[in-house]
Amino acid sequence: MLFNSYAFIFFFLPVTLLVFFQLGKASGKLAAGWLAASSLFFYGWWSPAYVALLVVSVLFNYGMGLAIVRAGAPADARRRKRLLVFAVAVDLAVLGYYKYANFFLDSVNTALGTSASLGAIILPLGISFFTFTQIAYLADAYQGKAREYSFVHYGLFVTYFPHLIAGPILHHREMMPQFALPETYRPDYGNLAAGLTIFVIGLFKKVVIADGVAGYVAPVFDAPQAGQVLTFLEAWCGALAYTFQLYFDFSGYSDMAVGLSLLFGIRLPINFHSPYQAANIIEFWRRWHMTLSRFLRDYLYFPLGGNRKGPARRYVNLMTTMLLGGLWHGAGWTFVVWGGLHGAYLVVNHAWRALRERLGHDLKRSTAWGRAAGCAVTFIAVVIGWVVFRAESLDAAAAILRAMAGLNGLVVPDVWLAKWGGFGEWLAQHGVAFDATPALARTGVVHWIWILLLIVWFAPNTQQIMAASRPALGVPPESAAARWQWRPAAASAAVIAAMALAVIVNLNRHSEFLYFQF
Amino acid sequence: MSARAYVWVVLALCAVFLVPVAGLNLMLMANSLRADKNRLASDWQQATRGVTYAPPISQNRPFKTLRLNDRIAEVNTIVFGSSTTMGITGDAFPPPLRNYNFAQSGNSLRAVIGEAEYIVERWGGRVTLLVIPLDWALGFVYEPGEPVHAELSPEAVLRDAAAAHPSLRAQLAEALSLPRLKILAGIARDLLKAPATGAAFRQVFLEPAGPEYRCADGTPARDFDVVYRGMCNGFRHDGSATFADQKRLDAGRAQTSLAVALSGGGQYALALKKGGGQLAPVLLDRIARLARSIEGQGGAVLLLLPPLMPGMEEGLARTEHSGALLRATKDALESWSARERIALLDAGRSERYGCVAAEFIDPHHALPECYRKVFSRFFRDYPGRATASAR
Repeated sequence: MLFNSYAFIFFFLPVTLLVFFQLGKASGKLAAGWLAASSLFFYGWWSPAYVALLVVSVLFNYGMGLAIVRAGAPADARRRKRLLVFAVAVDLAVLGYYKYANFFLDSVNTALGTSASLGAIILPLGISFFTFTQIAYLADAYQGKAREYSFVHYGLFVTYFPHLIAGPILHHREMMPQFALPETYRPDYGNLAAGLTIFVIGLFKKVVIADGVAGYVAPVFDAPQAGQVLTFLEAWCGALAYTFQLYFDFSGYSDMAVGLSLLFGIRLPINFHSPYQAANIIEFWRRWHMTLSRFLRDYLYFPLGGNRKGPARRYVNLMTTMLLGGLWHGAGWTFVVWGGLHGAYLVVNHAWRALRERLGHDLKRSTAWGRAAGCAVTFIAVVIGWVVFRAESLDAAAAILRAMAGLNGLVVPDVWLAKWGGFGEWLAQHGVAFDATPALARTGVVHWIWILLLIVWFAPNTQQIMAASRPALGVPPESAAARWQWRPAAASAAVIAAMALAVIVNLNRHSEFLYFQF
Repeated sequence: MSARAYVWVVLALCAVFLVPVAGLNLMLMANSLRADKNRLASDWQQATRGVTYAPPISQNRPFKTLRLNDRIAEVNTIVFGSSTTMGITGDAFPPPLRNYNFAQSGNSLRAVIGEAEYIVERWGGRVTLLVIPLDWALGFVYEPGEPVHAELSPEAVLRDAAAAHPSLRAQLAEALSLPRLKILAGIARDLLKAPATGAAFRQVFLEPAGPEYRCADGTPARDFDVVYRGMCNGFRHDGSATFADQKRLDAGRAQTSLAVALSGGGQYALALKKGGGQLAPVLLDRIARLARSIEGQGGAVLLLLPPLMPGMEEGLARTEHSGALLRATKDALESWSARERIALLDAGRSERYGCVAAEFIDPHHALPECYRKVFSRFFRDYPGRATASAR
């Protein structure tokens, strides 16, 4: 079931919410059980067959976690380790089969000229998310950081529908205490008001903005495979359109998750914090898909040694983490290269900072111009990365990047010549080339781009607007301008109702979220 | 404002807007999608020879098929195709040709061949001229696959229409959609302007059709749809479309439309590119077989390359992206039709027939004035080519 569907908005959500609070009056456990059962129904709406996989995964990991926690005596250290290795190996094997088996076979076939096949394997929705969530739990159980939880709470922690399919990646330390609080199961109008507002903002980002700009992306990214040679403007417009589509799609989903969860009185961790305002790539990864960054840092980068074993090892660890992070996003070489590219960006960024420190620069001080320049460079680097991320193949990515570098020339769409009238003719007479730009047939993308650039660079994000109601966990301690602060008021109610209506009348073109595939 | 009041105000504002919108749109759809609308509209046209259609206007196959069955006894010429050829009126054909325009929205060449085969098989002795468009501009001549079998009996078409009735869930989703909202807003505006709002409301929401009225040329009209009321929109008695909901190209729009039509990313360039200039052989074979079949019964097939706005085909022929593909398509069609000895009327360069941009609503939809010029020239230059067999 999609958050941006009539079935979810008008049926699933109201029913689940009403029954949850009714049951909460009698028993918190009962309400939590209802929420977990509803979450399975939500998951099963897509494919009932894969509910069994999810349930087995929950049972297996709960059992293994329990076994690891109970084998707590120092004498049992080896047994605990064996249990951990076994459980993580099984999780990774399942993930590997569903997500990477065909990629691996295709790569082997390409290298050896063979034609081995496993047939089509359907990727269960959200498998990366619920696998990582549970691996973190197992690792913490091994390190003594997780204790014995109730099965109902554990099941809810993994299956909780706001995060189940596309994150945020939850941590048991953040969630279990909330499930244990009696007030979670009592309706709180403060939470309901803030949750409703955030959910509507997220829906608006997805349905109106991300889906609105999406139509401009495919013609550009499909062009190389259709044998079309892209020009400078076509390539940049397509790359920027995708940059915004991905951000508003995924951050919209994350807002919806945070808002929905808040309706149930449960706070999720923040997942986006204006990433395109980052002044360097290190900051970007502290603002983009923050729960994945946290997971990779805590359960991959730190165990690899982090920055504790010298700069060279640190760079190797960074690169390894980002390569695997890239692979997590999808089974394809474009994702691996994208991860490697960001690994390289991070290495350069850390090396640059080390150099500046050696030269005696104060890294904490920055000028407005310096920050603006850093923001622009970071943004361009990220856009280049998204081209590789979205492209169908590395060849297609290279073709688009060549066009973005201006190697195929600067051509203005010929439809603009007629639209611009005298100005267009003047430009044509002065050497500006007007010609066919098939991938830019709908030139309205230009307006989308400048408007969305202003929003991502200068507007406060949802968490900043909603800061007064503390809607999410881990929001950086900085305040938005007071005039952007949300408060329950007639004007804000009217704005949110208008946004909700704009979403609802556009819902019948509903599309899936980009991050479902990861 | 308290958080509690805020939640209820947001929900109430949404409900105040959505409940009436959903309710009224469901009423409109229930009225529009009444199972008997096609029959009612068709019977009314048969009785009055007026202008009408059964909603929705984009799904006109049931209505057109009922009309065909009603008219088949009195016509001897059938025009096929999609909306491109809906501008062909009965007076474009000289006597003794009596035409019914059976063109339907979005009807591909594959569908047309199936319909033509049905008609030849069922009414071959009666129908003597089949006008079949070869619409490369929409890519129909390149489409792979066998022609679609057609069943054009009233019972079959009404059965198909009933089976296509959307579910309540689909209707509810549609009722809340932006296009439906815009239609409802337009109706609300009209109702508020109506002298008797209550009666107008009843008519739009509860009655199958509006009152009968007259078009500018005196033809009677009746609206069975809830949109385009009083505009004389729909199909004439001869099956041609009035296109009353569309605007003619004026000088400014014509220039922009031509620029867009000639661009490498435009729909025509993409249609040519997708087809690669390679006509679908199976479609040509079936048309040739159809021509032989109707010739055996004393009839003929007239192939039509529909008129395009002045300057468009010539402009496309000069472009690097489409010129070669267009030439390949037209050369192949000409040599094939000559080989099969089937008449081919190439009206693509409509300016040669004296058509002007104002006789188009977009680059490939010509209005009756242009089609009249095209057919009058054809029948003047080749008087016996297609009419000889007409009784």
